[in-house]
Amino acid sequence: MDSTAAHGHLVPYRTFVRVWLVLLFLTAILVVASRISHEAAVWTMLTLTPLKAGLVFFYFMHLKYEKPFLKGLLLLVLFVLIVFIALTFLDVSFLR
Amino acid sequence: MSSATAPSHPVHKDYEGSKMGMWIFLFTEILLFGGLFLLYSIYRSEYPVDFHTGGQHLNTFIGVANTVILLTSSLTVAMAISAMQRGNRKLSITCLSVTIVFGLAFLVDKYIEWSEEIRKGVYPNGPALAKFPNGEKIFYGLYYAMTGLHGLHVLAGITVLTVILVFVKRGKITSTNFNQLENAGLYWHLVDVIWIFLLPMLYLAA
Amino acid sequence: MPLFVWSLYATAWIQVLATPILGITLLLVIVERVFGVGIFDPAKGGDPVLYQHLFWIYSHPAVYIMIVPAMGAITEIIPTFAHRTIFGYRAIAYSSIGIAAVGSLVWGHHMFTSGMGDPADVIFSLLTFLVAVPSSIKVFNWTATLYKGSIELRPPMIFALTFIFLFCIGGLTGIIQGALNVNVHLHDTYWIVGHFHYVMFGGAGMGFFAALLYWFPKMFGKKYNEKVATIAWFPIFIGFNIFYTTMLVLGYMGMPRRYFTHLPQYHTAHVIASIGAFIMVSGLILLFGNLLVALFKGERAEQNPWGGVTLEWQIPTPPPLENFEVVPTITTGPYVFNPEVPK
Repeated sequence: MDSTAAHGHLVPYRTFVRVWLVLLFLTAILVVASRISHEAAVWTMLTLTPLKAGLVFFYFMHLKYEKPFLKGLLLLVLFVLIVFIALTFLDVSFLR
Repeated sequence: MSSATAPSHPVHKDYEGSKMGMWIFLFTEILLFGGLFLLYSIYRSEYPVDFHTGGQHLNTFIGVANTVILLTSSLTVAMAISAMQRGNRKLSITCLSVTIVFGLAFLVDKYIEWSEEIRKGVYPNGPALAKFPNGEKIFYGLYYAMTGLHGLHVLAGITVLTVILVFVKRGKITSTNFNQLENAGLYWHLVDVIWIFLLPMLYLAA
Repeated sequence: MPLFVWSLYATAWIQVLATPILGITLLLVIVERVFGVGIFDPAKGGDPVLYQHLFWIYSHPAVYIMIVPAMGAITEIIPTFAHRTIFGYRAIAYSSIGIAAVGSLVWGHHMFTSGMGDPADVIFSLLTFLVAVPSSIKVFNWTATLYKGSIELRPPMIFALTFIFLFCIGGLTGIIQGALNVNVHLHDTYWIVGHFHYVMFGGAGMGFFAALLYWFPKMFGKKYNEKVATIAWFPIFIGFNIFYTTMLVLGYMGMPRRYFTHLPQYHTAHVIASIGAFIMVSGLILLFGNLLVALFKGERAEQNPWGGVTLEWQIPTPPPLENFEVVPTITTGPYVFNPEVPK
């Protein structure tokens, strides 16, 4: 019940600022890619966007320092969503 | 306590349970927006050209500006929590206030953006939209639905953060009792993550 | 952990993951109606089948939300009245999770006639057959628990056994309609109505009655008349089967759902079903009337009327605030029957 023990881990401000800068940088790449071509935009979207989201989950939302169980749950939820989308595509992709 | 047999004891504080509860709520939010993402992916595969056209018409500048605003607000709310952990109440209040201001700025931008589109007649059942091909109608329908639902969540987040700010000021949240602040931060970060996806989906790589 | 708790845990996961999809679907319908968005409107480029996908992604898991807790209650009741520990604790625990997991992937079986692509039809049909496996695992385990048990046919047990029987019929009819070729004929007929009443009413409903009869003395501290409860079972069971078997027959005779009138060739069966319904309802009135009377005029119930060994029977009836003075120390599994302990 002692909350200080549970809250043990302190993340330095520095880390947050660095993550923020990386996020801004990745956003800039996304914008530049969208100016270059549609293909570039799509590829960067598919790779960099999950990376950005991952950084927010891991550092800003403290997930890196949480129990593996919680990380597993998040993966489960994302997996469930992907399966829903995949099975729906299974229908739509093979029509006509 | 009225019952003679019940022991009396102070209210339990369950830090782990509270955090887990917030994360489970965030999972439901992921699936809520996930339904919209499902629709987006299916319709995009059906109308690739129209989605691209629609994306080109949107105001990318405001979209990117809003992204920067939200990313920065995520930074400030994370710092607010860190400051509270270290007992730096003043810094925590400052960072929380800045976060709220950024949230409001996001909503103002959104208002400007939507007004622009609505003035041009590009809205559901609007005159300009009626002349667009079906794929673009769907694109804009999804645009308004996704950014609208997201905007409502930003508003809810601002409300929650304001309440938390009041709690901090009143001393209800302290360096040993700050999981309400942490949970509010978690909610705000998720709102940011959703926008991280919305930006390329709607504005950059449609 | 008691298996009822396992079943509630599995149910909670289904609720967390499936309900938001319903939320967004309904929000979109509102947005469609109020703002004319047209996300599912073909005239505006939308696809109503996508609405069906989103709708059933929630609504199929929803039926598992309804049945899994009932299965959990049955899993508590059977060991108590067979005076044997549950057979295959792990299998039942994991199969609850298994039903939740696989059951979330079968939603397309509501859409076989909606014009889905062929591969989707086949995969959803296959997954539907697979989801029967964890449910059957439970049925085998309950049956194995009964084997060589000292069975007492008191009201909760009677309804628990009824659950198993009626749920099996419901489940098997579900498998039949999960076959693609057969589904073309049975979809949107009274067969479907018969099927889901067998699983929902015969399954979840009977499970609910069993649980109510089991925990009533603990909850309200009153005893109900067991004889009346047993007698009530007969019209309920007989009426139920007349009612819903007739619907299964009506369905494969071709009567469609959701029509407010029926062709003359179906009339006799409808009369029979209605008779069954009245018989069943009279039994239900008897069952619930008995409980209502017990609530107000029943004798005081003792702490452990059934000789159960799970934690709820170790505390007074009705339970005091916060149940236990001290958090109990658990030293054995949840269903250990010590022959020396008097009933």
